[in-house]
Amino acid sequence: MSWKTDVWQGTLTLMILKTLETMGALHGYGIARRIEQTSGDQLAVNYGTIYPALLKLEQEGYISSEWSVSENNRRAKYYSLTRAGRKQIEREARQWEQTADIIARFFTPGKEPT
Amino acid sequence: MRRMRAFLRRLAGVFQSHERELVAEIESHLDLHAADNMRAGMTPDEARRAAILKLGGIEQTKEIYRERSGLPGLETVFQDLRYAVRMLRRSPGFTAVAVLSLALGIGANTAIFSVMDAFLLRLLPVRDPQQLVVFDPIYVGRSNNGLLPFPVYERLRTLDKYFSNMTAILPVDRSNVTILDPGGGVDPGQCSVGIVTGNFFETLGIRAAIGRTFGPENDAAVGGHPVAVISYAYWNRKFAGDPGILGRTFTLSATTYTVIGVTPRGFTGEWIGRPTDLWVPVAMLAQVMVELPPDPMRGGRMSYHVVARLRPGIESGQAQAAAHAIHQQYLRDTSGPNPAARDDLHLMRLAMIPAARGFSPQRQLLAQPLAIVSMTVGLVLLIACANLANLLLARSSARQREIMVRLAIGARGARIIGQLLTESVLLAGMGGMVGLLFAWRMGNTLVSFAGSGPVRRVDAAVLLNLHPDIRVLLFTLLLCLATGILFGLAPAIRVSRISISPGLGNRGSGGCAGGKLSKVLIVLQVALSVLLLIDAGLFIRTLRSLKSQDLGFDRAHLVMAWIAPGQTGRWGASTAQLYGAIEQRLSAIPGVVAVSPNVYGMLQGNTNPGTTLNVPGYVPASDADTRAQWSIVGARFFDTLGLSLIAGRNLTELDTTTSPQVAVINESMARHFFRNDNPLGKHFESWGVVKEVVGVVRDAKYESPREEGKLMFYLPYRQQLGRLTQNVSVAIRTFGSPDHFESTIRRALTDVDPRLPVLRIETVEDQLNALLVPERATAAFSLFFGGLAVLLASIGLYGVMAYHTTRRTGEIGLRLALGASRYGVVGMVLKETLTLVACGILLGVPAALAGGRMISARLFGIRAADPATIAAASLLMIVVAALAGFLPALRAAKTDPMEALRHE
Repeated sequence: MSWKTDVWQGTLTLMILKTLETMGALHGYGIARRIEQTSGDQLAVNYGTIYPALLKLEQEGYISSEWSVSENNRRAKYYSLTRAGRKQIEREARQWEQTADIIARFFTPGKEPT
Repeated sequence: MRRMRAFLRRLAGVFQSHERELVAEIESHLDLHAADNMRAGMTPDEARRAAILKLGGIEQTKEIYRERSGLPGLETVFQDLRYAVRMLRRSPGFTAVAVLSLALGIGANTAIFSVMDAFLLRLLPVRDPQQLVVFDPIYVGRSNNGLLPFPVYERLRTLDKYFSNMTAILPVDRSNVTILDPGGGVDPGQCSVGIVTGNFFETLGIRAAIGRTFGPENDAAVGGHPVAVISYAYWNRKFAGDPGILGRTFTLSATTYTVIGVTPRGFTGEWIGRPTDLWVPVAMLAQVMVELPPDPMRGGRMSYHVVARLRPGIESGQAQAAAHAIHQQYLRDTSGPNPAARDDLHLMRLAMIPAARGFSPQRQLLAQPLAIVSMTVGLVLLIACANLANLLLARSSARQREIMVRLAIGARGARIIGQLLTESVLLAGMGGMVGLLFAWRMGNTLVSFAGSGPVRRVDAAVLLNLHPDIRVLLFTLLLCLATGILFGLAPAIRVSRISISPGLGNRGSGGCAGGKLSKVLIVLQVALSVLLLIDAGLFIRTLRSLKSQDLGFDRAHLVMAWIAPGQTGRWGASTAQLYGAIEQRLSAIPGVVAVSPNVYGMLQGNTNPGTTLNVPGYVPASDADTRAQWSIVGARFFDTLGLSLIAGRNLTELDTTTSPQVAVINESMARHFFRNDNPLGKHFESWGVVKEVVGVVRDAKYESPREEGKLMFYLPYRQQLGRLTQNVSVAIRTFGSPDHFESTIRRALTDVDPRLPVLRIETVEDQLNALLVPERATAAFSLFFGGLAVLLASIGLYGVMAYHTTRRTGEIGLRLALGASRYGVVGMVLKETLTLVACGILLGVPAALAGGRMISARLFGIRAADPATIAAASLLMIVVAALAGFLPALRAAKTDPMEALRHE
């Protein structure tokens, strides 16, 4: 479904960045879990899709990764924001607000400019 | 920026696998998730299964991850390449034939391109070359090779409204250079010198690679600036790239010069095809050209090339008009009292020619043969492509099952085409690499095409910058890609259209659809081959008739020794004395029959510009009508050449400055000016002096065996002291073979004056051969490539016929079983072959006739539509094709009917 592919890929990166901003360094499973919870379990997608997104962000230099040990003593790869990542959140958040705003106008009758 | 960074990381990911790290990460993910699940009360097995389910599958995750980690498109290409290499390695015979024929085709095209690039396309390596122009005074359509008197240059310089800078160059060859070493002097041989105005380097925008160039300040005091800038190539060749080159010295015509700089690599002056070795300022003119009579005028009475730099935004038409006006004014000011000269002024036009690619009089000479050869090699490459297309078609039929299996398990058509194209482009790439090796050798052979005038004896690589440069490599690369796609695409598309079901079940009758296409390709190949064969035949016959052409004089046992008396400081009477001494000394050699100087030599190509005559009583029909060529010769010239005197008397030692001026004219000139009158005792005027005709000799071919009825008059050297400034040939008639005379002649000339530069000694026969180098090269190349084309076409024909007869084994077996004779089968297959050939010939001959118009200017003694040549070429094609078709026919006839029927 298109939600799963196009929009998912686009919004997922913003969700990841935002999650890392509030939670600090976190592993892939943690991020997926957190996104699911934050969405109120409305996003029921495969956790696996988060890994290509993480790779893309890392390739673009917005996040960095490091192997570390989890709270219950398991090895996991932890992702954290870079400086460029923090700036990117601001940029993308602004863009998202604009987009949401524009879309909202179409759904609120009477507000359309004539 | 971010995208670029991501792209580079992905590119790195193609070569470096993240697989192990990914597996570890997924494993840790599953562990974490399973731990949570167990805390929620699942058993370990359930927990893990649920985690995998939620992940979306381990392999699936790896797959989507991989797509992001590398570049999937690039990986596909690599995969295809690996597969292609495996496929080609499995059939080495096919690969070898394919690579070799492509190598020949691509190599030939690369070689031609490198020559064209060096001669016709490459920009001068100077600042903003497109702003540069040269001037050329055109008199009645005849170029003066861009040479203008120095005062014209000085007047043109006043046009600084249009031109930001302007320089004059006098190119001269010198043989009296000695490179000074601490250990002694070295003679570097003939050296081409550019005598240039001080602003030469400034105008061209050339900075020295080592040291400095000279400027106007080094061109002020006459004789006071013995400095030189040498070319990078000369520095490497003659100074062995000495890093301490600055301050080294050499003598030139007895003056010692200091090297102050080396020009950048690749720059050899403004004249393409005549690389300059060293540059000295015009202030040193009298010191370099010691043969010139003393002359207080700056620049002397020599003619110069004038190169100017247009100001940006200036319309070239305006600048040309202004320059033309100045030139006309100069001509009016200097035409003297002779009213005839003034009448001529309107015939002179000062042309302004773009010089971004440099100046080159050889360009025109070379353009036609190059065009012919490049068309030929283009056609050969086309034939090689058609051949490969056929081979691939045959192979693709053989690979049908493999491809069907791939289609059946879900490969898309585009993917299969991509795979097959990768194979053909790989083949083309390999062919291109081998071809590059051919190309450098062929390029040098080709440059001997340039064989005209003074550049003939120079090494081709020195003559033109035939370096393997990036443009040539790029051209080859593009050619490889284009050929790979050209011959690969049709078979690939056809294969990918195969429908799966019938082929998989039945291995019998697939691939027949390719039959029509491959036959069309064969017909095309035959047509092109016949076309090339006909052209080859025409060029060979042209060469033969040029070589056997009656020259009007006896060419056997005739030697020419070229000397440069001017470089010893002689001029006028002292040169005439030298001539006399040489005549005497050489005549004394046993076996020498007759000797005479002759200023332009014989068969030197287009070197004799001629002059305009004023003939009393003759009314010129057109402007160029009074132009005749001339030579200055000794008393025994006609004996030496074997030119028979028809009327009147020979020139003698008694025709001197104190006796009336006389001339001997040729038949054509007598007929042209005096019709049926007796020419003896008639008069004509040249350079303002009246001469009396005292004799008439037979016509000869003076410059080239192609020329027809040129007007010529001969003047005795003892009477023309003022004109004895040039290098001169001494014609020597020997008794018996002239081959052994070279060292004797050289010694005799040294006896007369040890300082006299002897430029070269050659037989007239050799000279004729050198003159015919373009013709010989055209003939040789077209024969070689025509033969290659026929060979390729017959390989193709053989392949296709063999393939078709194999496919028809069953049918042929059936025929044999039903009583057909084996001869009948051979005849049937041969008939099929010959039908294809006939179609090809029917297509090729009209094409050759149509193309004949393009080459007719290069032909001599034969028409482009020569029936004998066409018949011979067609016959050769038929015979070779019959041979190629005979083997498959024989094999077909040997079919065992039982075997064949069982096979079905």
